[in-house]
Amino acid sequence: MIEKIRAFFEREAPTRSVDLHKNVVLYLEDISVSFDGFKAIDSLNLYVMKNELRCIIGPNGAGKTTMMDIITGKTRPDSGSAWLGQNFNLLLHSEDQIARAGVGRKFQKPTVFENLTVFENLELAMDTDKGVFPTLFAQLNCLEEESIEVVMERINLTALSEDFAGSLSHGQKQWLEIGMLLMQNAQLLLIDEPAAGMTHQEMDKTVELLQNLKDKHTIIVVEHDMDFVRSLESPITVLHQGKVLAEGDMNKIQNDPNVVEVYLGE
Amino acid sequence: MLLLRILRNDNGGKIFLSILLAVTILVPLLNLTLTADNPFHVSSYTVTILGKYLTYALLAVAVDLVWGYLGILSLGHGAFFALGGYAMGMYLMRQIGDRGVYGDPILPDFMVFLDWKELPWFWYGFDQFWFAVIMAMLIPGILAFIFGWFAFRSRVTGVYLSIMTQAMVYALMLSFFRNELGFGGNNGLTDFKDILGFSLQLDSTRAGLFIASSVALAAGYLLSRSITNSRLGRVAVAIRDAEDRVRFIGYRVENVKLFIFTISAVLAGIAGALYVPQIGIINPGEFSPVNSIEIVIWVAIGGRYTLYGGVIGALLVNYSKTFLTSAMPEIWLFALGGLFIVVTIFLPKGIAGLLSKYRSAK
Repeated sequence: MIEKIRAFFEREAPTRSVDLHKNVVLYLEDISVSFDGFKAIDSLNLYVMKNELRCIIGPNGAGKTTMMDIITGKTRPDSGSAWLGQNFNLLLHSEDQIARAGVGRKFQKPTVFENLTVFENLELAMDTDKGVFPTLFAQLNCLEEESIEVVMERINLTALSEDFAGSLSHGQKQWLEIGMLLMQNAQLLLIDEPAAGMTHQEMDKTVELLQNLKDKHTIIVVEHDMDFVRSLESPITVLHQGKVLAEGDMNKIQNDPNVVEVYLGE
Repeated sequence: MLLLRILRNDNGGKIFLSILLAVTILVPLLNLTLTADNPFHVSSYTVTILGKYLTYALLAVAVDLVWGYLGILSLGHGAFFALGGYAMGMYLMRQIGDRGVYGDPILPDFMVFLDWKELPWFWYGFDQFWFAVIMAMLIPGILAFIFGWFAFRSRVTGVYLSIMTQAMVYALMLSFFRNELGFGGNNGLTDFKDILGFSLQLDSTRAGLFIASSVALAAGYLLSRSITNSRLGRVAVAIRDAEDRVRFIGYRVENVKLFIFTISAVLAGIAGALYVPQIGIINPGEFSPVNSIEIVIWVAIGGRYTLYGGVIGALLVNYSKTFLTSAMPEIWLFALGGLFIVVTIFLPKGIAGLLSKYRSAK
């Protein structure tokens, strides 16, 4: 109890002690989870290297979202292990601790803070001390303001900086969410269906944005739209019934008989 | 300067505080300097009623802070208000000294009546005004902290949390009804004589309490406004709208909630402490669950997510209540229910929303 009370007053500084010297950002080993007897994830193994852009596809119910929930601490698996880098055990930390350790998540349905402006949305996501009292007394300095402006430039929302996020178009909300991940300075970006509901033009811009991010971040993209996945030109993992069905580039995947049977052939 | 910085982008707040300042100067002046036959004379009764409204307004600001900005629909803020009131009531009881009916220099009348020989330990210290003031803030604060600690950490939200707050206030009411608890049971604490040596019957004391309520309201408003203006205030709005998302950008949602909920409870406690000397009584009825729901109705009618909307609602509803319960007592509850329905259907942003719509239309 006293321990917890002390933790309340402790600073919640960004944790930047994740050890990546082996160049592997994410280890998921033998992960299983079931809901009411239904095996959502069934001894899943997945490794993601530093600066990789990995696409994850799979039919509905393949376990994609559950996998994201496990990585971000929302769902605890029944068995298996999940590590960020060499030293950060994802299964022992809460959502906010995992976020501060450098895992950013973009949801399937864009969730931005609609009653705050674009600028304020990015400000809240910013990588800084997120404890109660530091946040209460926080003042934006020039450097921070500049970093927000740089991100706004990148996601094409500079002109809308003072607009409420609720008034943005669907595509713009998706970008704002990606912008928030950039502000978080996340090592690992989990991006759930970035192209959903986007026009072709917006989609091209999103592909460009994600390709650019690869230099500094490791990205996992979950997507249904095959054209979008193709244009990302990245390695693909196919999930099926909570297991990895196939891994490789688009050509290999498309010619894999198992994949054709369960997914592409439908 | 600091004042202007807190009130930037808050035109409603500027107007509200200006009016409050004018009222705070004029009402005591017109009450104390003019004779009763002067048409501009403000009666002492009115001063006390207005003072009571101001403490209600502070209570409404406290509720708007947690409901409008943080999304916690607290149906238990009456508990914090009443606890603040009881702390002040205990001081006022001990001020009576040997002037009570039984003339005991230490024990309040109800304890003599119950044949208690000694003052219970939790009554120690309440002969000091400063101690009572600190307790009026500390006790509601601690209760809110403990309640919030368990509720927010277990991620109880929405209607379940509201029901828990109702249960809390109801449990407190039942225990305060018991004589054995040592707070006067059913009758509560009353027959107060004076505060800080000033008789509560004097017009000047009443005017002083009125001014104190007004200052507390202004200070509570400014404190709440500076919280909502801070980055923490924006985090609160974000929690209200998408709690999970806030966790995934790295904030500890339960701590943010705990902090603002506790501050709000302290404000409610201060309001209660100012309410009791003006009304002259505090009894377990203040813990009634209906009272707590009524506060939420004030805020809904005035307009939440504005802070000053709560003030408008508290004044309007309570003025109507004072007027109607004496003119047509049987229709009061119907009028309140009707007002609530009209506002929810036609004015979802309350009266404050109507005012700002009118202003932007011009």
